[in-house]
Amino acid sequence: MPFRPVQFLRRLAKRHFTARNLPDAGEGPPPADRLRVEAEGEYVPSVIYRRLEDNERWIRSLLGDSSDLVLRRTQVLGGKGTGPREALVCYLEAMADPAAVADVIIRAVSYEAGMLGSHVRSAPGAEPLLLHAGSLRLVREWREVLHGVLSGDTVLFVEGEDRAVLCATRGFETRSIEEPALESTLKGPREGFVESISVNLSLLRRWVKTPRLCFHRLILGDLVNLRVEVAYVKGLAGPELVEEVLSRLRRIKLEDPLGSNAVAEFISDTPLAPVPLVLATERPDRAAAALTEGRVVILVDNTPYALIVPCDMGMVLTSPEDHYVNSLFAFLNRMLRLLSLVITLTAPGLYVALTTFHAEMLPTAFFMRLQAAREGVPLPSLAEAVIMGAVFEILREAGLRMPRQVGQAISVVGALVIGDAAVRAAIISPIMLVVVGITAITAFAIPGYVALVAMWLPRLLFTLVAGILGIFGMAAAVTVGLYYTLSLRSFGVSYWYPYLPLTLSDLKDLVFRAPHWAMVRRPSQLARGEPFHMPYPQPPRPPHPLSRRPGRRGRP
Amino acid sequence: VRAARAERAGGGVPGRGQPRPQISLSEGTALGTCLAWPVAVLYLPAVVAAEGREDGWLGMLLAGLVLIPVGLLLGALAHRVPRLGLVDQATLALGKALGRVVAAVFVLGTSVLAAYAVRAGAEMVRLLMLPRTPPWVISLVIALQGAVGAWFGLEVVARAAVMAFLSVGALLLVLIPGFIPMFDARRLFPVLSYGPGPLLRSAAVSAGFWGQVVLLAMSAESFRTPAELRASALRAGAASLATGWLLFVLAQGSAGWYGVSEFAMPNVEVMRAVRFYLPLFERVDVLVVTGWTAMGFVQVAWLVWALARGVSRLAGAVDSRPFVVPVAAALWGASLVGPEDLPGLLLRWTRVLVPLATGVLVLTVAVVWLTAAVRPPAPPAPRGARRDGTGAVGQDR
Repeated sequence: MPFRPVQFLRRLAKRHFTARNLPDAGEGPPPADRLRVEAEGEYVPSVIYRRLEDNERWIRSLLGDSSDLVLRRTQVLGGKGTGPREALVCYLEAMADPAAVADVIIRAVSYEAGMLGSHVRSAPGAEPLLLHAGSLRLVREWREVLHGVLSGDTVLFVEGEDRAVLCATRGFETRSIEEPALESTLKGPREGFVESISVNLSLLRRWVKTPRLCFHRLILGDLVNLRVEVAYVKGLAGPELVEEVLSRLRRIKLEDPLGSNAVAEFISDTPLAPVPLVLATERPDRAAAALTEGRVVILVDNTPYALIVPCDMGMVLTSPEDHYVNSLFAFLNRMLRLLSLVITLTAPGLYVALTTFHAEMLPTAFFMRLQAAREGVPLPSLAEAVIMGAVFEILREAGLRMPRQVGQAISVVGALVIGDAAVRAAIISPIMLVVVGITAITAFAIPGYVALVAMWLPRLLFTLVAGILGIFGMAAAVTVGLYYTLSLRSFGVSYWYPYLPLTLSDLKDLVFRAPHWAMVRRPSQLARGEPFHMPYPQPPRPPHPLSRRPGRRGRP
Repeated sequence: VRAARAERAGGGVPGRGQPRPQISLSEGTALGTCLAWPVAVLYLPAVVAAEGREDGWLGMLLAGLVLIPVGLLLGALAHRVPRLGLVDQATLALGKALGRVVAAVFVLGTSVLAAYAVRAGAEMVRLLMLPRTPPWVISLVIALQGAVGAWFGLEVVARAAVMAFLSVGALLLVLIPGFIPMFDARRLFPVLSYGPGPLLRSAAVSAGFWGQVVLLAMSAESFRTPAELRASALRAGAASLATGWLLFVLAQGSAGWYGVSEFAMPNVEVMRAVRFYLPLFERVDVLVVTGWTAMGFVQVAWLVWALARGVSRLAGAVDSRPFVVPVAAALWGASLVGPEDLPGLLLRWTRVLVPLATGVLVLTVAVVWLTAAVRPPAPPAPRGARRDGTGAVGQDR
């Protein structure tokens, strides 16, 4: 290979400038090898400078001379035999707690260090021991510095050092922990996730107190720097699953401030699926239970929801309340929910099919009453069902968007004015109102708002097909819907799991709700490394009524 | 077993791309049951009663014996040429040219059965549910849903088959006690009063339906082991035979062989006479037919998948999806050919064409197995193997 001096020099320069001891930034153009992270063609160095002036200049240029940017010069003592060294404290006034900054950092580096005769050691490998901040980190890259400052941390640059100290001084206000709005329970805990991701992490830690609980932090997007934490229990969650979650998250390039739903859309297996393939929950206990089953939980900053993957139909149809009531009642509730699912999907379609095509199926007296109720109604059953379904959805949407007081008024308007007036005017038959009412009530029996909304489209399709081809058409539409949902997967797990493929042992906590002492196994498709919750079933063993001494059975 | 189940369903191991489609023993059983049962239960009793008179129920039982050699044949072929579908098995055992001819015969036989299934389903729907709707519309809907199921793949169809199997099973459990008040065992006797002729004729017609489990050969590659394929075929055949035979016996015991032979769909007609437990519905036959229709949908989806798979392998293509829609369209067109009246359909297709097609299919599989047994084919080279046989690419020599 011939010697090429230009390439040689370029390689040499590259190696030189990317080494740890970078030269100070001069007035000339920055080296071309450094990372370009700023738009508009301006080069930004990847690592911080040794000179304070350069660091100050760069951070001012990066943060655009923001009015809440505070840059304060101070001094710290140097190493043995050296004099004090210049330092630069940098934080955002709107995000950091000024008292904490002043108390923890400035006082510490300026006074306490001098009084103690010690120094803030900044040699490689040493820790700045005299700072009292709760969390300290030595950072080297501008990316970390910027993210820390933008998150409310304070950064301390020291003259002559190519590293900075990042101190946790976040002081912005957050919402306090409140009861979940959509997943409230009667007997369960009343805590829900909040917008602060740090608080959410602590909530998870409180439920899963094990050193195997891991959090993996990701920062998404150069513009919004969205913080995402991937939580899993090491040994329970499959490493392939964790790696897949991380790789899907790393592929996200977003420039808008988006929440957990956007992240869910980015990582979903089938983004346009009408059913949730990534479960969003606002309950820490539910997220913790998912962690102990071997699932992965994703927390997104500024969003009071945690995302759980993989998500299957069993998770969607179960409610957290089931684990806080008697197992028999929980089982009955689940059966009711399944029945509600079937009714809410098929009731309008069945009504249309029966009245339009298969009237001979109905008892004669019932059919006569039905026809009498429909006397004078100008619309066919199909049009009735579609119109009333649309009215119901509009009322639901309006009720959700309006304040509570107005929402109640809308309910009254919907029930009395539209319903009663429409029946009196013979536009709608009263039977149709009954059908719509049953459909609505059964829809609300299904836990989760997303699942509730997801029912709308298939219900409409089933109704339309039933109006064209009767029960036969409806059966065809249901079969096609079945094919579609059977083809769905969430991170490799079939959406119909454990119903199809049928896994009887996993039905204990999905169709049935076995007593907690009987749920020995974890879901077989997830926690394959540790398949057992407990070593053996532990039914309660009350003392024998004939035994007088504890621990002894038999006659006294 | 748990690991295998987990692996089959993706196992929480999120692969880039779908895992290899695999169907379990229960899914294979449900799939095999869906192959002939929906049509057989509707149309077979009339033909069997007409052919066999009082001996029809014995003939149907006798036909069940065909299941044993068919199941064993499937298992033996899969053992000889493992992890391949029938088209590839044939080309491997018989050579490229002859193998393709034999496979094409198999695909042709499958297409006849598929067209019959679509047409029979459409006639049933038209007769019982939508008398004013043209049959081509109903056939189109049936073929379309089959195309959708086949598009999503064998795994999806197999799981839908499990659901249909369980639903129809539950329906039968509820309905069969309703026959009992009308049942009179004397209507089943005397037997063999006309000699062995009616018995054998009814057995031959029945064997044409129950032997359709041989179609599982098209999906032999998706079974984990040859033993599972064999067991699936035998179990499916047994389940189909048991329920079909039971319904036939109940129908003959309720209406007599002449009454059964007079109806196009005797089981449905008898069911109309059943007073259901709750006076909610006047007629439950529409509900029953809906359940059977759902099972028939799965049957057509499976047949479309099998045909698309067969055609794609004959064309040398790996992915069968591009062939699904053309195959479904062809199937729809083929279902419109033939007699326009239901009695004609019963006479020509059910009595003659279906047993003939099934016989050809069994014969084809037998030829492939026999050839593979006499001259065992070399095992297929692993993916990425070198042509000179020095080892696989990327592997240590």
